[in-house]
Amino acid sequence: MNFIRFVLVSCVALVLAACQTTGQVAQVRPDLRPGDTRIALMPMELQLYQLTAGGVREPKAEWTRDAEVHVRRAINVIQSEKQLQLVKFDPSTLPLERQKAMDQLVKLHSVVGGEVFLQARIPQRRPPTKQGRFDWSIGSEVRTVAEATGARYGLFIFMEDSYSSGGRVALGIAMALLGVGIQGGQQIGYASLVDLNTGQIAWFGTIARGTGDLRTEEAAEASVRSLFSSLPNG
Amino acid sequence: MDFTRRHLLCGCAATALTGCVSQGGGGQIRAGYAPSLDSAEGGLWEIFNKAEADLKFSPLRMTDEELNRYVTDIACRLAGKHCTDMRVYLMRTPFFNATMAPNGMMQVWSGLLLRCQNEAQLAAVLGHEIGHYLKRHSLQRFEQMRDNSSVAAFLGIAIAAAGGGALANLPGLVAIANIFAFSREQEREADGVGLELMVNAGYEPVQAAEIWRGLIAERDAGLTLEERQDQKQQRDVFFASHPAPADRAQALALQAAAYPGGKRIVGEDRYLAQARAFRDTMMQDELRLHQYDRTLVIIERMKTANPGDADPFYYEGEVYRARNDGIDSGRAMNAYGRALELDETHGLSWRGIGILHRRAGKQEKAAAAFRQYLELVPDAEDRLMIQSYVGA
Amino acid sequence: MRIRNFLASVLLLFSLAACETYTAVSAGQSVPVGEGITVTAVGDWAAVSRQFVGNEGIDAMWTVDGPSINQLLFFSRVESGEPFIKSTNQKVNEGLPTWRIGMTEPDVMEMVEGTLVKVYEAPVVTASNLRPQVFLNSPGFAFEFDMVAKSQLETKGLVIGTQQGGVLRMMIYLAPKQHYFTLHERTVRAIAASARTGSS
Repeated sequence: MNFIRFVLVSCVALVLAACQTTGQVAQVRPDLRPGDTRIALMPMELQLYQLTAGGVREPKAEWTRDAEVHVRRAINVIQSEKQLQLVKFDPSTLPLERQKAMDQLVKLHSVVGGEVFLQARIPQRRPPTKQGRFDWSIGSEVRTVAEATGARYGLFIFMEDSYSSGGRVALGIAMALLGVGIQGGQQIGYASLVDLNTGQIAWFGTIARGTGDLRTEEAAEASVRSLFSSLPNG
Repeated sequence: MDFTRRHLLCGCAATALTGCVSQGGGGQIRAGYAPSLDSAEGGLWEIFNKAEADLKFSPLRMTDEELNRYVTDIACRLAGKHCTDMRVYLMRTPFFNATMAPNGMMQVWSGLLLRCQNEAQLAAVLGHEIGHYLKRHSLQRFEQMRDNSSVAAFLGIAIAAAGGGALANLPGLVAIANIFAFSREQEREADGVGLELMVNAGYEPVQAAEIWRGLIAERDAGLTLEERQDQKQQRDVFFASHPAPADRAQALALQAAAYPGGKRIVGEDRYLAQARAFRDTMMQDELRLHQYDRTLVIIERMKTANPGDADPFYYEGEVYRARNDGIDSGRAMNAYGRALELDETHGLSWRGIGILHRRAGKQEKAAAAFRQYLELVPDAEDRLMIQSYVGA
Repeated sequence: MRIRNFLASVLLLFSLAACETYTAVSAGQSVPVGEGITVTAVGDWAAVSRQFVGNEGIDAMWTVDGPSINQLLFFSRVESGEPFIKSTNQKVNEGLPTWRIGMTEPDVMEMVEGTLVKVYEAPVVTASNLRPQVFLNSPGFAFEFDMVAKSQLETKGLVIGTQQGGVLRMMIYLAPKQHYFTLHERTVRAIAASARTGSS
C-alpha cells in the first residue's frame, strides 16, 4: 500500500464519516443470554494524542492514563445496562509459552481489527472478496482464552483520540474565518466480540468522529456508549 | 554512508534516547526508588512499563536461561544495590546497542554481544548505561524540555526505540536524536561512572576504550582516507549524540590508566564460551545485512581471538561469496579451504565450495563438494535442493 | 461556507476517483500478472490497483482479506544486477542485494532474505526448507521464511520462483503466521502450479 495515498483516502472517508457517529457492519448476531454469557475482556489498546500546530500527533501519557480509567468505568456502566457478564482475562497466570502465544493473538487481532475497521468505514477499502457476508476470524488460538476464563466470547477494544494543541486551535479559528475547515482532532475506535470456540468475529462496532473527549468521564461514557450501540442486550 | 552504516549509528542514537529518559532529577538515585504515579516522572515510567510488557513477549527476545543469567549477573555486579531495580532483556537485533529505560528496563541487542570480545567490554557498555541511570541525567533533560511541545514526540520516538526492533522510524530517530541527545558532558560523566563501576566490580577498565576502538575500525572499514574524513565531518547522529569516538576512546584510556594496576578481570574465555552457542545465529543475522566491510572487521577479531577456530574462515567465505565482485570467488574459495584445513568436518564450508563451483559451471566438482556437505550436515535446511544438484 | 462546500466536493471527487482500490479476481479466471506470466485464480482474490501497491518492482499484488493481512506478490521479470523490490523509503534502498545471472538457488534464497530485512525493516528474516519446484514449466525453487514484522507480529512467507531466459520470475505469499498463512497456503500453491508463460 502506498501509505500516504492510503492515509489521504482514509482521511477523506473519515471526513465524510464524521457526520455520522457510529457505523456497524452486517454481521452474525452474537448469542448473548442475559447475565449468563461470559465475556473475557482482552487487553485494551488506548492511546491519546495531541495534535500540534504542524499536524504532528504526539502521544500523551497522562491523558491516556485518565482515558483508561474513564473507559473502564464506562464499560462497567454498559455492562450492567446490557446485562453482560464481563470477566477479566489475566494472561500472566499462564505458562510463559502460552503467554507469548496470547501476546501474538492480541497483536493479530490488532492487525485484523484495523483492517475490519477500515473496510467498515471506507467502502473503497473493502475488497470484492469481503463484500456480502461478514466473515472474519483470528483462528483457534482463542480457545486458550476460553479455557482460562470459561468465557464464550472475548472482547477486544481499540480507541484513539487526538486533540488540538493551542497552536492548532488558533490555526483552526484563523482558517475558519477564511471559510476553510480544518480538522481539529479525531476519535476513532472499534470493539470486537470474538467467538472463543471458533475465532470468528461475532460482532464489530466502530466509531469515527471529529468530536468526543476521552479525557473527561462524561464524554468518555458517551463515546463508549456510541461504540457499543449496536450490540444487542445480553 | 550506506544504509547499514546508518543503522549502526542510529542504534547508538537510540541508546542516547532511551538513556535520555532514564530516571533523573537532582543527584544520585537511591536503590528501590519508584516515582509517585501522579508525577511527570511517574507518567514517564508508565509509558516504559507498557513498552516493557510488550517487549517481554517479543518474538525477538533471546530467551536462553543461561545466557540471560550471565548478562544479568554482570549488570548486577556493576549496579550493586540497584540490581533489583533493573531487568535485562536480550534482543535478537543485529545492531550495536544497549539501552536503559527510566523504569529499569535494560535492553541488550545481539549486535552488541557479537561485537564484544570479552566480559569487560560488555561490562563497559552496561556500566555506561547504568551511569546515565544513576546520575539521573534523563530527568534533567526531560525537565529542560517539559515546556517544549516536542517532548511528547520525543517520548513517542523513545518508545519506538524501546520496542526491540526500533527500525521503523529511522529518519525520525535521526532528527530527534540531534535535538535530544545527552550533552557531551553527561556522556563523559556516564563514561566516568561506568569506569568506576567496572573497577569496583573488578573489571579491567582499559577494555572500555577498546570497544570504541573496535567501532571506529568498523566504521572506517572499506573507506578511503578521504571518505573517512568525510565520515567525521558529517555531523551524523553518532557524533551529535556522543563525543567523537576517537576522543572518547582516548579519554577512557587515560582515565583507565589512572586506576591503580593489579589483577583485573578481562574475562575473554568465559565471555566467548557464553557467546559461543549463539555466535552462529548472530553471525547469520549479521551476514544478512550485507555490510561486507564491517562484517570482515568482526571476523578478523574472531580470528585473532582463536586462531584455531574454523568458523571465522567460513564466515569470511560467506562474505566474499555474497559480495561476488571481481576476484571475490577466489577469496571465498581460499577462505573455505582454510576453514576445512582447520576442521575437515566443517560441512557448511563444503556447501560454500559447492555453490562456487556450480556458479562456475564445474558441475562435477560442485557435486563432490555438495556430497561432503550432505554427509556432514544431514539435516540441512536446503537438503532437497542440494540433493537435486548432486543427482542422488 | 461556500468554500468549505467546494472543498468537500473536491475531496469527495478525489475519494471517488480513488474508488477502484481493487479489481475482483474470481476463482477460475485467468489473469496476466506482469510481463509474460498468466495465472489462473484458485479461490476468490482481489487485485490491488497499481497506485496502491507502494513498493517498486511488484508487478501484481493480490489479497484475500486486505493487504495489511495477506499479500500475494508477483515479480515477473527481475533483470540481472537489479534488486527485485525497492521500498518507497529511499534510505532503505541503499545497498540492496541484487539478483544476478548465474546465481544458484541457495544464492537466490539468501538474496531474498537480505532484501526483505531491508525493505520490510525486519531485524530478522530466516528462510528454510529450500527445495526444487517446477514453476512456469521450468525447473525452479521454493522455500518458506519467518519474519518479525514492525508490529512484532510473526509473519510467514512462501517463495516460489524460477531463473530462466536471463530473468528471475518469482511469487511471494506473506501472511501472519497465526491462522492466516495456512488459511490460504494451499490456494497459493495451486495458483503457482497454474502459472504459464505468455499472456492469455
